[in-house]
Amino acid sequence: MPSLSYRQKRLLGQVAAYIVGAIIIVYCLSPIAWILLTSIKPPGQEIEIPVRYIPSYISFENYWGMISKIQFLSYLRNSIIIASVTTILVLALGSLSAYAISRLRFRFRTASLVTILVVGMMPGIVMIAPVFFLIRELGLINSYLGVIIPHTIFALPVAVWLLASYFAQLPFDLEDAAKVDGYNPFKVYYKIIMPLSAPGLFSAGILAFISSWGEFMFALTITHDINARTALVAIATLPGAFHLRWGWITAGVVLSLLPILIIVLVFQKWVIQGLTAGAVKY
Amino acid sequence: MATKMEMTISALVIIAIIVSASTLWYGMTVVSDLSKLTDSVADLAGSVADLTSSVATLATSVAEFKTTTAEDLAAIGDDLAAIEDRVALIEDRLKPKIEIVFAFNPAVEEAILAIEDMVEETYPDIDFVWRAMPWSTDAQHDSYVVWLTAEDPKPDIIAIDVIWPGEFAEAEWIEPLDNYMTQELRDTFIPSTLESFTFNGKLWAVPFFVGTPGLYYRSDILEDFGFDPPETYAELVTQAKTILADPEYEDMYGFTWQGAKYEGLVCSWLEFHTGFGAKVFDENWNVVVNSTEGVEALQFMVDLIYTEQISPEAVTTWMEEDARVEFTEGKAIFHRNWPYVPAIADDPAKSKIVGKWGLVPNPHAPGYESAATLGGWALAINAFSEHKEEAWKVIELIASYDGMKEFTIRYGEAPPLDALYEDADILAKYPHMALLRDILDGTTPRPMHPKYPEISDILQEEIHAALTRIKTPKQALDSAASRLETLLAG
Amino acid sequence: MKIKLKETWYAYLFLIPTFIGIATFAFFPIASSFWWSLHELRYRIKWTGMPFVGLANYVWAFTTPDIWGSLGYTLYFVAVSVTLEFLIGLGMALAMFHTFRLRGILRAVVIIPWAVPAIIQASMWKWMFHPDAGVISDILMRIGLISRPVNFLGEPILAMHSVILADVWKTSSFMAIMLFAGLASIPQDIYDSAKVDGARMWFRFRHITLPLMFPIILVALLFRTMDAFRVFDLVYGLTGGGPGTSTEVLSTFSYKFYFSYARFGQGSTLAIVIFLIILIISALYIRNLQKSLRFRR
Repeated sequence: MPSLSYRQKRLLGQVAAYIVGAIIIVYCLSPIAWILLTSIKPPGQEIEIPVRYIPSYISFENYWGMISKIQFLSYLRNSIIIASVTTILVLALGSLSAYAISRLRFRFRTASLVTILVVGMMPGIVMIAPVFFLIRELGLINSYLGVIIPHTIFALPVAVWLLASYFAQLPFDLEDAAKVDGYNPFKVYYKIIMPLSAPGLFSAGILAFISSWGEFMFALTITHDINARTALVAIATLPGAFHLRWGWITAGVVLSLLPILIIVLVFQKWVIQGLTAGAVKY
Repeated sequence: MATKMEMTISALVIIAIIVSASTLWYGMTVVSDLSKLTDSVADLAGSVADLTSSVATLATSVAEFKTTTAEDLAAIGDDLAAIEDRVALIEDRLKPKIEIVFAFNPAVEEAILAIEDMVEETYPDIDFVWRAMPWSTDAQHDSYVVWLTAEDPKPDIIAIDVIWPGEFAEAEWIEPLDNYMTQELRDTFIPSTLESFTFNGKLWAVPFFVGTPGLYYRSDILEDFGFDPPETYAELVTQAKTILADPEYEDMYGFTWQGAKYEGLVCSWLEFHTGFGAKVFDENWNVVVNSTEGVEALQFMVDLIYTEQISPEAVTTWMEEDARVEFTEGKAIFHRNWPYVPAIADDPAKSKIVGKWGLVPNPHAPGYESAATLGGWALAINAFSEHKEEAWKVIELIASYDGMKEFTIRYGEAPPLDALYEDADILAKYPHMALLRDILDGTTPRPMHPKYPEISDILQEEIHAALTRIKTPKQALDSAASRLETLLAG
Repeated sequence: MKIKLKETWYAYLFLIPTFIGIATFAFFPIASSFWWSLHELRYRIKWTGMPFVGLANYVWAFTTPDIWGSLGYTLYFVAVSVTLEFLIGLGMALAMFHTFRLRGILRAVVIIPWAVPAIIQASMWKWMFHPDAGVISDILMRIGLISRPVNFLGEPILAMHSVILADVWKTSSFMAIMLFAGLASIPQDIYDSAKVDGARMWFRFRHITLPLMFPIILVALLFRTMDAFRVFDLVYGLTGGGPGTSTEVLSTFSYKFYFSYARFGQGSTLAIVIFLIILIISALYIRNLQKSLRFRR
């Protein structure tokens, strides 16, 4: 076969990339398709033999049930607040720690990194009882903060490690300029490193948000009612002993996914800016 | 000098952050207290408004005093009495209410809300609060383990599964109820239901939601073949095989039940086991699970799948709903399950077999009796609760005739109170209630022992291994027996 | 020297809030777990108190018959799962990075599997694997790959791989998110100069992308290995450890003792054992990481 021209190769590459992209979309979304379809089925058609894919008519009764009877929007509000504050805290504390570890010189660098990692090594089940006890002693039961604090702590290891690796890739001469006129590590962190770190912060932020959003056991035991319970706990405490209302559950899951999608789409722009800015800058 | 300044500023900033975080936290608690206070003030304002209007009424009456007759005097007397009542109400509202937290899954929410009205009417000084729990029994159990090891006084009333009393009682997590329960109240219950929640000679919980499983069957198909519902297992197998041999029904499953590795497996297995005349423990807690009858029973279950082939292999992964779906979608002839099925089976939106099903007690081996594992939930009082008296008052209300009726009439589960089986409303809505009563009389409880979770686990593993042909029934039960003996000894 | 001292002070300052939080909410539970593992603490037999038994629980943990089987299943799960999710995640990350117009949609779509909470996934996949009412059986039958419904979660080997499939679907998404950050951290001009020198795509990938991504790849693998060892919700929800014990991973094993039996002494011991296993494995990763991560000297 004759060697392809540069342009043809580029075209082939692009086509391949798009095919792969399509495969990825199918891969990621097919189970979600089942959830989505089930949520718009009229009650009673959720599970059938043989499998019914398309509902006989589209019904939003499940969504209506969740929103009006279960007051799901209040729970969503709680989830959003808890996850957002957790993410902000994780990014703030995490990036500070990651910056210190990756770009400042001090003796306990590796030790710090390992210590932070240790947090994520224990199986979750044994952490619940002691943490519940602590939160109760602090009087934070059934409050946002009572859930935010454990969520932040357990999301920190991934964030710190990811950001430390990311920061370590940035060129080291960035600080040298600052050192000449009065060195303030905090200023360097704030003015130089952070703006360049959009992709890293985005990834770390999304992971922190999702880890808080999808956390169940702490949220269940620390909160008691609609004032502080998260969307996931609401879905899990729907009425049902044996017979689960799949319609409501899937409607709740779809409603839960929406804020995440919105956040991702909104922050995309920022990430793209960060990517292109980085390319130009260095 | 610039650097010292910067360091101080940084330190000040950090301190400011800590201070504002603490203020924020404190502020949040204050805000929640404030909102509670606002509610109380709103209540008070309402009562004061009532009082004002009563006073106004009185004022008008007094103005007409000049032409009062005896009737007018009596009217004034009534107004005075009304004011007294209002004042008493205000006094009541100003008194802090005792909060009783009730924890259970919202599956019975409508009934609970009706109960809540009853409570607030009968005991105005009790504030009934409902704490929603997850539908998974395990998730409920886990939450209680966390709260009770931290000795949390709330929730005051815990709904416990029929297999937890031994465990919770030993751990001293719940109160014994003998001192609260009057003999009168006791007599209204069907004895076997109270026995299931009695351990070490004490009563630990009051049943309110009892599960009595049975054999559901396709009445239309059986009628076609001229069969009466089977009484023995042998009959069940013969009928199923005859029906399945017919080309019209050959795609169906003969008998669907719950065979996954979970607590429900012990429930279904125990019915086969007891129905063949076997026991798990004898009266002195000796292990007798691997008796000849026991092996026969387990062998029968295995044969259902592989030899007779009237139950699919998939049954070893099925829980209640998995098996139920097969039946209500018209793919199964016989089906063992709890009493929640009729409501679904008769709902045209959810079932393809409306009006084509029937329910009978479980079959048994010849010479033995039908067995049904007792399921259900009961109300216990948190041992660390600070308001046990009030908690008992609420439980008493729920355990009364009217209270229990709220549950039965809405959900169709067998009530533990004798008298309710004669209630006209209930019989009108659930004609098969008499049948459930029969089943209830013959229920078999699971072994009541503080180590029940481990007993159950051993049974689950071994039985499931036999069902998936990793072991033979004899191997499985012998292994279970020795493991149980070790467990009970240690 | 002045600068070094200043850096040290600032480093401590930056790290203190994190460490206060960790000390309180992570080390305290770990320490209390360790404390409990040295005692016999059975909540259901309260009158025995809490006698100190030293390392007896650990002896029990290593000699109890089912533990080695459980360890085996866990190791298999970790090895297969992490490998698959890495490869798939890498592919997704590359696609996220290199496609121009699809980029936005892809980024949003790729995050979704990770965003669906674990307990929901367990229920969801359970129904999808149902032989008669589940979509997987149905689709496979329609395509013609199987002729009768398959009992995915009921056969020992099939069950383990079904669980792995469900897990990989979710976690390849996590890998993609992390590896994407890794790809984005590579300065563009390295590629440009390599292109000028005539380096082809595969060469660029092998000799520039992969080496420079190595730190983040290691971090991603490290965390996923740790997580895979502790996998719980998915396995418990899908199979409960069955059929038999063929999917009884370490976490479900220790959960039984901790929550179901309320034997906090032994449950804590198992948890500490898991913790130590993860610690040892992490040490291997970290050693490699130290070599490749060029922290500021």
